[in-house]
Amino acid sequence: MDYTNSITTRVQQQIDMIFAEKIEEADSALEMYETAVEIREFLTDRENISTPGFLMRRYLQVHSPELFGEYECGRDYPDLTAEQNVPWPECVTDRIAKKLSSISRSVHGLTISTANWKKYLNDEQGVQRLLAIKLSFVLKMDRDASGMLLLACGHDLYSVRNPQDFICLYCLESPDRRIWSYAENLLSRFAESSGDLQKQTKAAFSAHEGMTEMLGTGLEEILFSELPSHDADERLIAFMTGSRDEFTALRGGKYAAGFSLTRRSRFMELTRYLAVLYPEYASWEHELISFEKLPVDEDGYPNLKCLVRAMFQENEWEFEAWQSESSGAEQNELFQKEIYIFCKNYYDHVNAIDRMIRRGDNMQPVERRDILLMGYFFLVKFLELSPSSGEMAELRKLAEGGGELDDAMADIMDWLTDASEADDDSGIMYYRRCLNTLLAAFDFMPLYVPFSFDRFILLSLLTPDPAELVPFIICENRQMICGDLAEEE
Amino acid sequence: MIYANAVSLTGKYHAERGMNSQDRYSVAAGNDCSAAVLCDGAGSFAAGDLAAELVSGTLAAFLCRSFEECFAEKQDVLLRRLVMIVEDTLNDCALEKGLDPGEMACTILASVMHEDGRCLCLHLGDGMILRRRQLGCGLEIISRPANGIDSSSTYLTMNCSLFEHLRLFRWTQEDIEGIFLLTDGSDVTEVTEKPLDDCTCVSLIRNNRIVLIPQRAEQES
Repeated sequence: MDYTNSITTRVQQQIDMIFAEKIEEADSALEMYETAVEIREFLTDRENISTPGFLMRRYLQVHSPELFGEYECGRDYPDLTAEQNVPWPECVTDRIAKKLSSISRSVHGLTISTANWKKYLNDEQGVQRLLAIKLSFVLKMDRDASGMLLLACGHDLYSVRNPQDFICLYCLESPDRRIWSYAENLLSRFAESSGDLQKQTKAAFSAHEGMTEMLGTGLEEILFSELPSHDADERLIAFMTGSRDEFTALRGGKYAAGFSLTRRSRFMELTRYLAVLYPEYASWEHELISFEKLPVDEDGYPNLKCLVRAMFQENEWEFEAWQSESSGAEQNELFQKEIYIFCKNYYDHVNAIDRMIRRGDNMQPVERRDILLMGYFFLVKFLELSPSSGEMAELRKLAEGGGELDDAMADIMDWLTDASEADDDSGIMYYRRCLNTLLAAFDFMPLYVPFSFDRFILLSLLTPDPAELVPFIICENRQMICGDLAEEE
Repeated sequence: MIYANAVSLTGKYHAERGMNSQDRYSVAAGNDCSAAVLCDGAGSFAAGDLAAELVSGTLAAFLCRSFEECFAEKQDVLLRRLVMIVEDTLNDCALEKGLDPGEMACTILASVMHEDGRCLCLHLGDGMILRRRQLGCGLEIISRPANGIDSSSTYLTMNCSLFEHLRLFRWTQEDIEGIFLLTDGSDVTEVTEKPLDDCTCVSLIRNNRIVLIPQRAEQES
């Protein structure tokens, strides 16, 4: 077997291959609907949403049928490979949750109660990234299935730059290593052999380009080396220890998320485009409103916090107004807690990216939903522009920059110009194409309609008041966007 | 010189029910190498013991006879060849005896060791393969058990994608003293109580006859 690509690219390609098929199926389903009303109805149908609970239940049904005992698939509980996202009968969920709780403890050394397992299987509670990974181990998922679960939970895929992710990729590759305590043991050995990273590494982590590929190639060589398990483990630890400077740092007992330098730089370039469309923001002082021009930081890029504020305000996601009203939420009929939490979380997330970029502490990578959200804000504002406006000329000039993102933005602007002349029904085709082009420029997987956040973005493009969708699409399932996360166990 | 040894204990579960162990092993020697294959027939399948008997014999002979090819061949090509050998053998037998091929279920633990230190191991399902490098050193794991979601399920011949789940290990190690194949139910460090499951240990030992033997428990009357 000849592996020439890094594990990061290969994982992505594998997911892409699986998703290409599923996306094609989902797109075909979407294209069956002709009017915007029909499309909206389809996108708001919960049975079409690929939630984490659905993915886990379907995986269990296919890979661990022995857990169901006397319950027969099709007769006692729905066949999720044939049907959509429908719930199990309570008796089946109770049985499976109890079994999983026992397995979590006896096999993996994890304490996950039966009650919590029920919540995860029924999508009654969101799941943090580390917990999603642990659940993957308990379910003995392979790398692809685990990656899909992460994406369904709204998290990014495994990154080889994160030592924990690196070890999880190693363990998930083979059924005999899909044991959480085994992965923990390897991580402890790495931490011990590398010393205390918190003390040793400098506060600002300096990444070297090309190292992501190096780490990925190193992992592949170990995985497919045919070495005895003992030797493979030893080689893994030795490799990781030797490459420790390329891994993210340990902070507060956790390793920072993996990152991509390319994504960061392109993200900042994208903010230039958005700054043209959202040149000012409103600020309040003593009930007086004033409009401030979007500041530009020393590095020449627009201030990220102010840009997000400008975009939310322009699209009437009035975060600041809600923030001041939050203390009297119960009395304020207009206050919607879910929207507030959504916006707040995104601000916090953007703040983290801002700190990452300014201080380089690598605590927050650019995520797929960042690009989707930024893409949405670009699309809605661009469509309002007149072809002869100064902003249009400025955007076109930016797109002549010659970079990969610039080429993508040029294509997007051409399609949006065509879309503005199309009717509402075919507009969604252009929007999907634009968002997929933007995602591809950041090396993210394309839109996948069954995912909640993707669905929310598409629906937002079809409705004049997208903020109203937040409680319906996202918060109803108490996904990560709302910030209501399961505590790590 | 490479010696093969084997010891088998009937588990409590089978002993209480008067059932025989379904562990089967075969050894072969030739071409300056020795091979041992240990298979655990799946008790819940009608022909698990028959499958274990056939696979152990067929593989042991093949690995010894074709050691050089097996060691040099590319991984995917070798795996395909091994899959064909195992599945053709089991399918032919099932056809001859009028059995459902899916009943020919067993695990596989195989090892072939050359005098010059080259080793090859195969592993399907649970059980464990260990090695010891020098006399007096501890045991190291070559291959761990591969179970399903819990320890009650594993991968078996004719019941999973053999190409995907048959694990292959190849390496050269001159200081290796012994390789040990253990079926599920064995404890490599200490067996002081009668095991619930049958456990069998087959070993290939180089240069001496000392072998790790699980402490044999007294038969319960």
